Amino acid sequence: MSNQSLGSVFTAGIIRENPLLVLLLGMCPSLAVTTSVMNGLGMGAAVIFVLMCSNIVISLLRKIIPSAVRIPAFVVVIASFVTIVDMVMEGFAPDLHAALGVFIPLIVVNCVILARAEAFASKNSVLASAIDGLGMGLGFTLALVLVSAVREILGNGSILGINILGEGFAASPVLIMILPPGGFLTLGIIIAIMNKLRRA
Amino acid sequence: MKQEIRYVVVLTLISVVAAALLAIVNQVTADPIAQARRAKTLNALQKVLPPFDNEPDQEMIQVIYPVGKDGKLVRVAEIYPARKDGKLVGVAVKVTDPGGYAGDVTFMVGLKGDPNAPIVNGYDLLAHKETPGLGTKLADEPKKPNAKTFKTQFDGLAFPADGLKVVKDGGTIDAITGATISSRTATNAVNKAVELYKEKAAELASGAAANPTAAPAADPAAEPAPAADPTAAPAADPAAGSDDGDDKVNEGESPEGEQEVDNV
Amino acid sequence: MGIAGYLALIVWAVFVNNFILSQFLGICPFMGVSKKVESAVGMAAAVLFVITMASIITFLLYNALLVPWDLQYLKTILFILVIAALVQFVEMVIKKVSPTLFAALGIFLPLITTNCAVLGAALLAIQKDFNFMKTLVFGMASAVGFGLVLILFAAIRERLALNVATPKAMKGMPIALITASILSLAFLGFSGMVRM
Repeated sequence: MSNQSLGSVFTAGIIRENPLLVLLLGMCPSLAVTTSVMNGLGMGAAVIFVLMCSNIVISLLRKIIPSAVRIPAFVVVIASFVTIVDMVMEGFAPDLHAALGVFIPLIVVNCVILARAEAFASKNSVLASAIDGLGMGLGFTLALVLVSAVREILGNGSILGINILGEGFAASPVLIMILPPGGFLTLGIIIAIMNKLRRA
Repeated sequence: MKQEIRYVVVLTLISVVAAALLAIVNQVTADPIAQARRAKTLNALQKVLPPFDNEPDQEMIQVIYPVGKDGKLVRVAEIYPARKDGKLVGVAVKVTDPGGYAGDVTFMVGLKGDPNAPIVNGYDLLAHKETPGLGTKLADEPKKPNAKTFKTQFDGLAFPADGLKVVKDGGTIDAITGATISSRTATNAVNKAVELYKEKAAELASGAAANPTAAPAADPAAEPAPAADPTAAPAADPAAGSDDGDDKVNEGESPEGEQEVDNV
Repeated sequence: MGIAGYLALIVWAVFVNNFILSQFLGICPFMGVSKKVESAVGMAAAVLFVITMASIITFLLYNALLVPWDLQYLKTILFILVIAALVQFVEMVIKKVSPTLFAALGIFLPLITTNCAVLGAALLAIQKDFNFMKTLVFGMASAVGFGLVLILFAAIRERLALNVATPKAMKGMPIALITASILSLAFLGFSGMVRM
């Protein structure tokens, strides 16, 4: 693991081991907040921040934290950064904060973050852990944007709030896409497509 | 034993550092958070009130009123007086109707003119859980300058003596197709707003103290509207970082109704 | 709030606002444990217990410790630590009381800690400003709703696994998600049934 080049550590998170589409982690927020691309981006940014910061801190402390209490220790570190994101967002991006709602504090139980802390950050250098956090975070964000783009275009006729399918469509779009069933459906089909592409 | 001590020490250290870090961030973000919450209310006020030059949220009056068939449930309304050159030019009433398709719907209703025959200045939809595509049309803004949506019916509407009703109930408001229940919440809300305006007309006109009439603090029996903002806490209270403003609203009893405390 | 009110809250939490199909809480175990009905039942019971205990404890700690000292921003850390400790405790108890169940649940037991449903229930109760009774009923009913859908889904997936016509790319997670979307569509019919 430590003799992987930094470049391959970075790209792993984006395609080969994309946390959402390949490792199938972090599905709760992926279904809940992807009703618009803006929300998907916002959540992605928050996850990148938490992932990188907690990876760095855990990597810094990896020789000090005893193995038996590592999970609670990781959890405290992760929860702290999540709380920071929560407070900063409420103060400086209140609309996004209201849109993401309870899923901001729920980042703390996003399996991606704990999984990377356990599998990578606790065993690698600070720089590698930071890059891993960035790569995984970006991969997660890309997947979120993909799902939310599909849902927003079909369910609202827009991307980032900008109407792109015309007035007629926007007046009565495929509403089901921004409701819960649409979330499950979109994610299921995208993962199926990923599976097919990976086998090809 | 030595191992266990090490576990405890490391965990405690990490927790203490974390708590300290969070306390700092909390301090730093407390103001922006309070500002953001206030901005949300001010935004709604701007939309429904005629031009004003006072700080309506510093003079907010709270009213608790019963809702529902047996009147056991209550909701909290907030009345914001808007003044220009010292004279009352309108009020905005934040009122919640529990009769929505999926629960509470909260509006900010703008009113102006004589309390006994007011003019509705429109409304702003603040919170709801209505069905997307149907009830959500309550918030639809006209896309072109003269286009009509459900809410434009309320802009500059002269309030009829016996209240507003949808056409189905014998009134004049065209309901949203397929969303009669949601549409009714709007007429109910406006009716309630006018009722409260009349009730508090004297108090508002005199520009008297901003004492919330719901002085008996955070009544546990009351079920406050979920969207209540902690706006009645003008003292730069660093504890404004609380998530649910309901408990804090009545605390200060706003004796600082004086405009000196201006944390702009 | 009278009996009717609590019944309405229960119906709302189980059907109208179902944790999995409307709120998207608890998806990871939903996908991971729902392959067989027996493990689904075991997981549902464990989650019911953890959510109930967690709702009570977090409510008490929030109101007794955090609110009086204006430390509400520490709730995320406090709650997740409480949940982690609770799950650890449940693990020990199950190991002693029923080693077979312990073996059956395997890795999924510690995973209840990262189950957004547990933390979600605690956070939502605070957000909605529920009193103690409502928090308790909300937590338990939500857990029942979670379990109900989990078991329903397991029954469907057992059948689905026997179906050889599923395309290779669809096997596993994709077809499960699409099935979930149909189930979610069915539950959409409950919306508006209860006002909360």
